[in-house]
Amino acid sequence: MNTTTLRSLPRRWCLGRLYRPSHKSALRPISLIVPIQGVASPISSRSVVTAVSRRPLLVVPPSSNTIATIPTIQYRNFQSEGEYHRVADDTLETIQDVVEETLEDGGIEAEVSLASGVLTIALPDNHGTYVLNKQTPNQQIWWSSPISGPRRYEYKDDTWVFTRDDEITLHKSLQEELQQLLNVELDWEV
Amino acid sequence: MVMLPLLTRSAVRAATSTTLVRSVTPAVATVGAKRSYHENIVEHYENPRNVGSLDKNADDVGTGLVGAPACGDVMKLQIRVDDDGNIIESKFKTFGCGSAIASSSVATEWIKGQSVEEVVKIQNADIAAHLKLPPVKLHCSMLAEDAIKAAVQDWKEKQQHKKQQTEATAEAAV
Repeated sequence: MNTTTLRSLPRRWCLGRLYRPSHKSALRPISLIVPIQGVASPISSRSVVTAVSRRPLLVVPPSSNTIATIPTIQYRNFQSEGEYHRVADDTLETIQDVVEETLEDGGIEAEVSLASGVLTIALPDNHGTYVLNKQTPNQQIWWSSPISGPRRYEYKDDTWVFTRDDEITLHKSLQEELQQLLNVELDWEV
Repeated sequence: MVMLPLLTRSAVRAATSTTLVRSVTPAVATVGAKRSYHENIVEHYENPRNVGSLDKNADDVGTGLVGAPACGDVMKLQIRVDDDGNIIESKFKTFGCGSAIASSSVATEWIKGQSVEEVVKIQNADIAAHLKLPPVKLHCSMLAEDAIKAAVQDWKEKQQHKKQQTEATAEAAV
């Protein structure tokens, strides 16, 4: 992505209605990873091979000028997009079920809804709203929390981990934050 | 690359369809059926500050480019830094939603006149709070924070490089 390309795109097109995809093939995933420099790539050679063989993985070559980007881990741990959808949907559904049940048992009135890959948990008493959504292009789950703010989680070793600290898992984060906010204990084993 | 807007938009749509499709007029809940952005976002969206580019090859310019087109947002933020380490000019170009544009617009305003050491302390939460970003849009403020840090990092690397070259020249002269 060089400056010329950026300039050639219309600014503010996101809010325009004119750019709706006209046919389904536009939904085919094209991955474009902005070069990460000065950071050892955490992508294992196996997952790279898998990703390349399964889909066109378009990686922008580093330009002659250094463009520094923030280190963000880019895993690609799914064999296919279908598998990503299956695991991510399953994750969000489980979270929805457990949160709904736990809050109901605790007599806490919250609005929990899951639609089109977006899980919204609106807590009562100005505790704020959680939004967890699937981000298919980079096979992540994005998280927005009233406590920890925005985060991206990526699938690694059968669990979703925070892209900037893989010690932090999605399930543990939610468990700890809801404990802190509402004094409820989420039990993932049920 | 010609197809990019199409692909990008559809990728976003596929990923978070409910939320983002509605994001033409979304997010902050108000009374009644009409929902709209907070006025701070709209103001920056309608009148974005410091849109443009600086010469990315210049020694005193740092460039931060973050995001990925496939994910829906690309943000380029540039700073021009004087000899004392203060940011004297800042420009941005962003392709993304109104919140992403407003976030980068605010970022360029805030960092002008500040030192590079100060601006890396700006948190996404500061930007989100100022713009009253709704939960689903907090990611935009994160992108702006990342862009500032990336620009400063780029500038620092250039200074380091310049210093090394000067030293090498000095050594060669001796």
